[in-house]
Amino acid sequence: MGHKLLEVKDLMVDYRTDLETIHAVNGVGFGLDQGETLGLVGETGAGKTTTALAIMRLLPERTGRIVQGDILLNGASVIEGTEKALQRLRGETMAMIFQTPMTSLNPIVSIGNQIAESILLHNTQGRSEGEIQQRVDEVLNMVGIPPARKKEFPHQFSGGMRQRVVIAIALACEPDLLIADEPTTALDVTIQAQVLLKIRDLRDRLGTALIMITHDLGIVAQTCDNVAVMYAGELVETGTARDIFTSATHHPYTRGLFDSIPRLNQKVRRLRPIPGLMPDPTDLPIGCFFSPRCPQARPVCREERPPVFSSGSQRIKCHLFGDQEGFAQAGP
Amino acid sequence: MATNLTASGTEAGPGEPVAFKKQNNAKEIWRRFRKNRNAMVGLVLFAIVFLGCFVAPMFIPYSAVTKQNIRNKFASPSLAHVAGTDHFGRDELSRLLYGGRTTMAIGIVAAAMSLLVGGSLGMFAAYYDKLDNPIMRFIDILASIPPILMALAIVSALGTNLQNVVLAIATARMPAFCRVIRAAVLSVADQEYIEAARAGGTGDLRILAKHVLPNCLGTIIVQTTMNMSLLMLAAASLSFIGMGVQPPAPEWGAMLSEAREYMRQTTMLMILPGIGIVMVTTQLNLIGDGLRDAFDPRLKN
Amino acid sequence: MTKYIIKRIILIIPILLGVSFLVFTILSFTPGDPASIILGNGADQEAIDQLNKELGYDRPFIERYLSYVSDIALHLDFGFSYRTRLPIRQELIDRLPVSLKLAFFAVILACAIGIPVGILTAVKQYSALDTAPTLTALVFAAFPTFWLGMILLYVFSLRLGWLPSYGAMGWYHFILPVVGLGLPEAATLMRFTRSSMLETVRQDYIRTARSKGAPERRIIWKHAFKNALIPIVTIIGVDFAALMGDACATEVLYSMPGLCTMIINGIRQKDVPSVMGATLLLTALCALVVLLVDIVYAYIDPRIAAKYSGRRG
Repeated sequence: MGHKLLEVKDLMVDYRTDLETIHAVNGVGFGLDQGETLGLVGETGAGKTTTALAIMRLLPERTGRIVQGDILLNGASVIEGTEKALQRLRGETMAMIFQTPMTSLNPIVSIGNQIAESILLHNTQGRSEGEIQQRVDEVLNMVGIPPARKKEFPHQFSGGMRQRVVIAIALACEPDLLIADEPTTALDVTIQAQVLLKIRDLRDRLGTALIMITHDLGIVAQTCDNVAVMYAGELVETGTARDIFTSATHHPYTRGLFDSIPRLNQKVRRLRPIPGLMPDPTDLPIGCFFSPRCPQARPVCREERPPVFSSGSQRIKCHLFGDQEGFAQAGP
Repeated sequence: MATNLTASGTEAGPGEPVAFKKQNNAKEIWRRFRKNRNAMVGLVLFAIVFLGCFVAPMFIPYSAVTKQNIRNKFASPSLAHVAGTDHFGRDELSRLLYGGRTTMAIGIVAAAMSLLVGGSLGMFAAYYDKLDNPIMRFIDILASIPPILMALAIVSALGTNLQNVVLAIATARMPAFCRVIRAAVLSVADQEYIEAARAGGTGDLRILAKHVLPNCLGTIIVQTTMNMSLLMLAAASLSFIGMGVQPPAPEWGAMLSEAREYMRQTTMLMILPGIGIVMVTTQLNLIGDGLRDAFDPRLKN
Repeated sequence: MTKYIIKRIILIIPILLGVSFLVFTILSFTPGDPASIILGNGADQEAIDQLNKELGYDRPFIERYLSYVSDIALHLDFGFSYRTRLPIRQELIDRLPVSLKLAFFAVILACAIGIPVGILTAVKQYSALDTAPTLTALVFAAFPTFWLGMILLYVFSLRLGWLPSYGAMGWYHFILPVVGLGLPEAATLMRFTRSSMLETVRQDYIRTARSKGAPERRIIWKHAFKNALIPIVTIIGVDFAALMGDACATEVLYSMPGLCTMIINGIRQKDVPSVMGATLLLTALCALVVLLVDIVYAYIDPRIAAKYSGRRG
């Protein structure tokens, strides 16, 4: 165990509008070591992006609200940090890649200047203008864009190339933590692999800790040390990648996720999608959030919030594991 | 970030069919509009002014507007003349109400005309590719003549009477309507359900009436409201420069033009019609803003 | 960029031709023939016919139009006034500066007030610094310029006697008209700037800038403002034509010898060539402003210039 880089403790985030309150994240907790990669998996709307934005403190100002919990980066609270302190953290200690490469870049600033801005804002080494430009070239080379194109504008790049620019911006200051929010979802399949490879390669080279948000289990298998499965704003199962992919016991939702993807190495006659939809985050069920869709739900599931049970490194939030051999209650 | 929250628009348990909340029915729009305080204030105040100007004149004989009584000119407000009298001793309140009726009627009729002609042109331009270029190039030319100059040219050629003033400002405003409606129809016309209707053999006119227009209704209503205030202002300023409604007929702009001569004697005459114009245009703008937000909640900040 | 500008200038020509044809056609509906207007009542029919022939009024409509346009295009000859019998060109040259100064300074004033206040309100959304200016602007945007002009005239000219109430001799003659014309425009511009800024601040690239650790001030000025400026610049160009209308009323109110008063006098006296000349000149002016705006636009937004210069975009 290395030094704990990031600790998310019992995080709860609401989006409040004048019409309704959306409970997007409902008590999420996890830790991340230096250089570790965590996969955050779940359906659209499970609260993955919200968790990431909360860590960066980039939640929409008017509506997004951290109601409970704490986020510690290198032991210091991000939530209590002043705006100034946050600005120093963002870009330098933690950085984020967004899922919308087509709109994530300022359309009227050349890509070189957008990368340079990142370096300029955290110019602790006191680089001169020439040195900053040199660093921009370096970073561009690193993500595989010819530095000669740095004077060009975002509209002159394809989606995959723009995502590389976003990655370059994020990595320009070699942050300790990189959050990649579905970095490949908006890209063509062929480009997806390239971008993913680039992220992994750079992570290894720079020793950056990575939170990889995705709904693609394939990406998780290739990239992550640890995995957290998210459903309706909570972590239903966490464990090492080995736990998630090889263990025989899983949260019913995790099993559902696996059953709904096709596999080439197994003879499966028909995919089994999870029935129903994620619960309305403005009006969550009383018991386990997954109980309305759970094929194994018992009466207790519909009435009481499930506790967390653990076995080795695997932790599962489900009533079913109360009497499971090898599992012990590890938390509420 | 808000995109992954779309699940809030759906509510379904296992086995239940997915029920999508209807976003755009009239009830929902009215509900959203009603929640908008500014818009409601605008609507209520506008209703009062509107009723005052259109109902009250029914009980006031037109002669009150024209009957001169020079000995009683510039009278201060009294029971007989609530808003005093003007430079000819005419009852100012009656003139204000009748004048407001004229100003508003011009604005409303001109907006309707503009919408009808400009809107249809825009709709056909958007829906029939072949018509797009000829119509829009013509509109480009029309639009590059400043509205006031267009209105002046028309009034100059046809003469300054009420119908020509309406015609002039409606024509001058038409290109704006045409462009907006064209854009709205264009955004609807390439949607899948239009394709589907077309593939199903539905006639063009039926598609336009049944599928395209209802989906552009928001834009149409908002634009018409906003333009009404612009057209009322245009009517007033045309009358102010003496090229619109001619005295002694009361009209807020024309009344201001008359009042200009008598500024030294009284400020009442120059204040009241101006307040009328500012009130009505502000109210219409508030209503327009409210409608826009109600029709398209995403735009609300 | 040069290619883009040339292309835009060439595109103006058909528009101007179309406009001149339209205005020529509309004004040809003006009742009465030139000679009757020039010679006035009581002239004998023979003289009228004779003069009409001299003026070329007996020729077909299209021929008259073509000769009118070619005279302007080739010799900058706008004909002569029916009333004064002087060349229209000279009157246009005399009056153009008045209208130009009025419009130009009003736009400057509107931008100087409208844009900064608009940004302030957007940045301080929901605070008193937002609501107070927003409400003020709401009312001011609804002010008919001629009414505001009347109030200014009453207060500063009639009551206080600080400024002249008519004419356009010196710079101080322009103060009241420019303020009266510029303030409502500033209010409109402020409202527009505010909503444009609020829209821009919501964009993904603003979040990217925040994620880099850019301070709020830098985000507003370097990222949001420049992007928000694109629609603002457009609206200034579009509003210029509308400003013409308000300028008309302002010129009348302050009896300024500008192009608008020339048109109105022309209409009153059935002096068609005056009306035509001034209308065409003002329209051309508006077209030029739109062109100018488009060039500025392309300068701010690299996507526009790229579209026209044939680079891959």
